[in-house]
Amino acid sequence: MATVEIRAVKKAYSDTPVIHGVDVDIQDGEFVVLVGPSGCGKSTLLRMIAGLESISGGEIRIGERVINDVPPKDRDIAMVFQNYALYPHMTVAENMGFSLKLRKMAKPEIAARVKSAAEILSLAHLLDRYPRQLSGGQRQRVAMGRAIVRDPQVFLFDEPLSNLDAKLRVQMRTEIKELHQRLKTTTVYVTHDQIEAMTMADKIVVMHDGIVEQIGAPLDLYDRPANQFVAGFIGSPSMNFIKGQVRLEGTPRFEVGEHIALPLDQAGDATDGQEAIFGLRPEHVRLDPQGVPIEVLVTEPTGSEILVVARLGKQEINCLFRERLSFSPGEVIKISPRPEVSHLFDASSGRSLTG
Amino acid sequence: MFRDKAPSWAYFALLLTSFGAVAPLAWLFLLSLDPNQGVASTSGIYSLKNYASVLFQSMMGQYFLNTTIVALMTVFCTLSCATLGAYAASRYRFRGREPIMIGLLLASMTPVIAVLVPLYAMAAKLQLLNTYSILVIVFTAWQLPGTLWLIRSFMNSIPAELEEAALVDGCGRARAFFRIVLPQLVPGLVASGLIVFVYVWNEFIIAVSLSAKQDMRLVSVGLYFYLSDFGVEWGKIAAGAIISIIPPAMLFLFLQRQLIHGLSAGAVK
Repeated sequence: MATVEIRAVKKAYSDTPVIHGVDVDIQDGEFVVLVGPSGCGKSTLLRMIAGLESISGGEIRIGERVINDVPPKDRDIAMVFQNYALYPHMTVAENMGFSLKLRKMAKPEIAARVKSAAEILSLAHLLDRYPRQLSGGQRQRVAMGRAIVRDPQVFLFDEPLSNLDAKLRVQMRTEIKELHQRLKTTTVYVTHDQIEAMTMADKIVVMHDGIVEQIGAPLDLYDRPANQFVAGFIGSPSMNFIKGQVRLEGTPRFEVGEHIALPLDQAGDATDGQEAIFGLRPEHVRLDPQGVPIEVLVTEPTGSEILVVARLGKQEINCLFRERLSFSPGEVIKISPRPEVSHLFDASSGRSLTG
Repeated sequence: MFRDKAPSWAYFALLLTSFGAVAPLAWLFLLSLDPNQGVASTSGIYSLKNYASVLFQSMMGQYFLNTTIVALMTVFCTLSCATLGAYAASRYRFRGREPIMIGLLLASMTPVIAVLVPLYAMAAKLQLLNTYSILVIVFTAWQLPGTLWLIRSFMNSIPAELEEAALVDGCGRARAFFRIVLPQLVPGLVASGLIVFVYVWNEFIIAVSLSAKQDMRLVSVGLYFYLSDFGVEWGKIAAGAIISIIPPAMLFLFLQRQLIHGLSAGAVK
């Protein structure tokens, strides 16, 4: 196990920069998730830690060692790929033991390690099969088995669950988390799925266009997003962004068009009359006869909750209720936001004014 | 895919095609059994005399040996060079990669006749006429572009992640290639190797120009000389031709599964 330090790391392909100086500190035994939309540079960063991409600037340390110019085989890392990358001509046991064989470990030792890893992952009965004879979930486990037999300093996961169906994905998510709690190996995990990030991570690194937008514990990012991008990316369904003006004279409020104002608990750095974005999570509204009126457009009941797509003034917002409610399209209902958990963002920079 | 029962005209079309392919062979076979010298008609007498004469009273055995040696060496040289070239062309990005590949393809379209005279002059100057080496060198050069293209497309269908997993697992580039990539490439190598082998087996113009000395002839050249010495010996030519079909046919038969796998790889996920 080891710490991983990423210092001012940059990546450019010929003249096109894709990562513009990223700093991340990963503690020993920590489970860190790199999350962001496609093309944000998260996979590239992971591949730079693995040594599969060169580092154009800055440095990466694993433990005390700068590994910029160390070939992948000498970095003592294990990686799980999105398409598993199992060797098709080797059995499950051979796949898992390959790295140990390359290290010239004695055969009985290899067999013992493969067996114990296989037991952890419930693969013991599949050791003689070939990858093509396995289901998607089993292949996924073999890929993980191949990583854990080595007892490496760092595990790297590159979107390992994106090829699985929804149910299996949830199951494997739990398994990976359990595995981490058991092995306590430093882990860097890449995903574009914020639910995976929220549920698995000790620490989330939100990336966007080659920069780090925010680093923090999952609930920190949910409660105190540093900017509008993080606020919109973390949480599902995502946060409503309502355009309007901050009014501070009298009772602080947020005016959305004429005659509609949302209560402001805290205005933070906002000034009177400032154009701003009011950030409101769909789950942070309640029905309130004294509230602001919204017109129901569409309702999406899922059983446990109901999502209401509605119009506030001229802007569309989503509201999530945990109660069994039924509304019809066109109906006008009154809601109140919970002001203590709402956010204000600067209209031009997107920076949080209340964080 | 059509899953209905095939209509009768489909059978008819297939039969017609099969007849077109098999009839000349059948005719050849009948000729080879005829001890007389007809070609348009057979005399109705059948014997294995022609086969005995080709096998035991001619240099045919030597020709077979020559052809096998040259074909195997050509296959080996072509596949080795093409695989390394294809690896570079498939896995590395470098300036001029596509122009080089297109250039290779264009070069391979040169008709053989156009370079025969300079080739002969070069071979004579290097004192390589009537040797295995000159045939292997020229055949390899001739087959390399097409084979490189073919193997590159096989290589492109092998996910780069396999190699990357091997790098992370503890291999260097070379070891990852030999332990992980090469085994995946076997069907492609078999298919390309067979194509090269059959090419050498059938090649005539280069072989007759560069290696016509009696004990250095290839099978195709050997057969040709039945035409000239004492008139046209149709029966012996036919018997020789039938015998010369056997080795490549056997190869196809044994490697059929690999070949089909290789030729259709990557076509359907």
